[in-house]
Amino acid sequence: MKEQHEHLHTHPGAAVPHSHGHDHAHDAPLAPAGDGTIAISHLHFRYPDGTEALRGMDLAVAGGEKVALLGPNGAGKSTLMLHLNGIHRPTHGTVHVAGLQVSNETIGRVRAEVGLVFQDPDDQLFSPTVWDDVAFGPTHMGLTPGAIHDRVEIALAAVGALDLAQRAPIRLSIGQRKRVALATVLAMNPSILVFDEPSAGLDPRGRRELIELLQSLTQTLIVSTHDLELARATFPRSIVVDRGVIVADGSTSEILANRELLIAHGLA
Amino acid sequence: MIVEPRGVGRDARAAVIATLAFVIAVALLPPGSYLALLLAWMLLAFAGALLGISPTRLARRGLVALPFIVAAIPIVFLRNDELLWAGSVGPLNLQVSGAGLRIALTALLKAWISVQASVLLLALASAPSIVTALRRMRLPDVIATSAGLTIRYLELLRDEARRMLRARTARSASPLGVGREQIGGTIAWRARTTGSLVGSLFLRAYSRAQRIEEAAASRGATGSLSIGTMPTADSRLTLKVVGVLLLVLIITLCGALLPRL
Amino acid sequence: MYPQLHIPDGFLSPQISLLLWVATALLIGIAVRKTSRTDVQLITSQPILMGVLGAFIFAAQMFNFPVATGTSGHLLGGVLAGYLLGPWAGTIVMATVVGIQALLFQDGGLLALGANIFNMGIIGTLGGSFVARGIGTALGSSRSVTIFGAGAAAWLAVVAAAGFTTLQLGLSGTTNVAVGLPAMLGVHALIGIGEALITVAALTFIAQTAPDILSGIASPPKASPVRRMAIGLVIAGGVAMFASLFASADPDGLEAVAEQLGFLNKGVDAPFELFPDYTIPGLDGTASTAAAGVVGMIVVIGLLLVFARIARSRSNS
Repeated sequence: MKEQHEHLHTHPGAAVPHSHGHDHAHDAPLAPAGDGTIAISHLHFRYPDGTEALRGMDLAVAGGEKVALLGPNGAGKSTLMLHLNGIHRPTHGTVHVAGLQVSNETIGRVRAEVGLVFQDPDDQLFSPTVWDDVAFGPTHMGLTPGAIHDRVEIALAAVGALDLAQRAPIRLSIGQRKRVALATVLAMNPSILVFDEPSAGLDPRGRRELIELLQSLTQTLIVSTHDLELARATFPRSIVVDRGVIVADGSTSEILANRELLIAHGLA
Repeated sequence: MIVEPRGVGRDARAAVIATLAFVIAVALLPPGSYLALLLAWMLLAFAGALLGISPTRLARRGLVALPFIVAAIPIVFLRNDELLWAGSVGPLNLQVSGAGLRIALTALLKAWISVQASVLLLALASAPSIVTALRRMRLPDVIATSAGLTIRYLELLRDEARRMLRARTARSASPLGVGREQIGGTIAWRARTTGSLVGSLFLRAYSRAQRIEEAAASRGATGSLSIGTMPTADSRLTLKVVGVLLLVLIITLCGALLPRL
Repeated sequence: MYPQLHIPDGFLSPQISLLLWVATALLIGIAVRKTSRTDVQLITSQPILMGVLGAFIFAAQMFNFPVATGTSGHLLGGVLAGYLLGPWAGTIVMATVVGIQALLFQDGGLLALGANIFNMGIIGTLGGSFVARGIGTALGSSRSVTIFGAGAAAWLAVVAAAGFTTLQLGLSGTTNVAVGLPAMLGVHALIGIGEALITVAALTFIAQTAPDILSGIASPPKASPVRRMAIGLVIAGGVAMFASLFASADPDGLEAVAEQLGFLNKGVDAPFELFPDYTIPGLDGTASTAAAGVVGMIVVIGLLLVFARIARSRSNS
């Protein structure tokens, strides 16, 4: 059963008044408050059990940039991503997203600015219906029922899943679940989207649809992936992470052409 | 694209109340009210038909309750009143008590009917909407949220368990020629492998719970957690409840008026 | 499949069902209050962990292993849940599991749910967890001792649940306790061995593979020697009481008590005996009753055929 895929472009800031902070976000459903920038400085992170996961990272991403995060398993990609929405806090160093430094005071706004799409959509779809799951974020932001309704509709439309609104997550195919998982974070109107292995488990058609979807998004994208073809097709810039540090940061085509680099860091 | 207006899903309170009231009415029928039970079942079968379930299919679903008759068999043979038959079969002195038979049969029929009522409830309202209805009827948040998540992840975890069981079966060979005691290992060994399976499943469940927490936190959840939107209230709820109470009255009156065996 | 303790509707008298519903509601209410006022780090996490572990219990109940020819051990999981989540959260999880079994799988009735939750969720989980804690407190709080305690408590929980189930059925007049109690207790003493072994094995596995998880959510409390002795005495007293119940299951005594208290499943007899000898006017004698029976049967079958047709057209639309 092939779902209709719609190309929809969300244009942040188009024809709506600029909003200050997301208290007024319900007035402008398509305008994220932040500028979509990421600035990480001297980031160190050690897990409670002592494992040093991140050993000094520096990173700067401009608003709207599309960046692939490459690296072998255990390199620290997931750990890094969990810093972007404040689930992990640095042991040393700072993390700024959308102009906000990630801290206890800003965490609410950080979570609204950074949408994290997990690898296993089943971890993200924990409500009885698709609608409920997509409404979860806006509901917890304290929006009015009308605003919530609008956000959910727009988010589902953006991923081409409006017709799935009343379905239970269990009954969806993996491709459908991944799309709905994206909708759950789009509904919060973030300026930055972070994906963990989005193409894992998809068949070639699903992958193609994913690429089209990613290309239609205007938010800043940080995507962790093993799928080098996906990186080449969709992301002009790549960052290679290995053993807790950034070992390469530059044009995707150059990095993927550097065979030694790829082999040295478990990418080929 | 038409999306449902706010208040998606349906208010399942009427369905829940109706089912409970029906089951209570049936439970209150005195032993031997076979005619009243038949009437109650016909009402159920009619409701089932309206929902697209044939009477035979519904009746078959009710058979799930059958095994429990074992509990009631002793009173058939051990009660001393209304002996229908007493005699000896071989060395045993047996008796069949009419009173016991009546109680056992009534219990079985009530169980059979109540299971079908439960089946119809599920046909009428999805499990999550039932939980939401209960939440509306003051079921504590902790229970409602936890139950909702259990329902959501039930199949997922059972699938994982099935896969692990299949893996265990695939490695449970019994080569020919080996003595009986050696097949399958000692009880302790078998318990240990089963325990490892259960333990691994727990660890997987625990990690998944952590990831769900992270996903929920990523979407802004702090403090009290409420999953699932509340559907719009059923405007005809009072009407339906009154209808249900009338039905209960009818069944109970039948229990009183119809002749009993 | 599991120790078949899920009582369907129709087997318990309304009075017993109601009584157990009240008891269950009270205790679950306490459990809710205890889990809501929490000293856990992430307040959001408690219901999520409980929900997913509820699904885990369901899945774990699928595991079986043969104990003897014909009997297989299945996990009930009450004491396991109590050990992993603490007695009160564990009780809520088991209660939801039993509830979902009744609702989704028709395993146990809706009216009888109060009793079923009482037997498996409260006796089996709350009671079992306290026994486990008590054993740990009395004998020392090392990991292996608490796990052993959980195993012993798991056995006791299964047997006790079976005992209470039978007593409830007996008080409702649906079973004969003299025969039922020894049979149920005997069978479940065997099944309980499986429960105990799996519980111990699972906890040992978790303790060896991920000890940090275990100490995070399942910490045996420390107690003074006086408290230890007190708890030990309570447990001993409880076991003694239970054993004497087993030993002296006097059916006549039990039924006499039940009759005096009006529990026996007579239905709602008395006020409804309006027409004790009701007969259809104009019809006397066996011939006409038989005729009425035949007519009735034809009507019923006719109606059922109509229903079947309605069902078919409804499911096709």
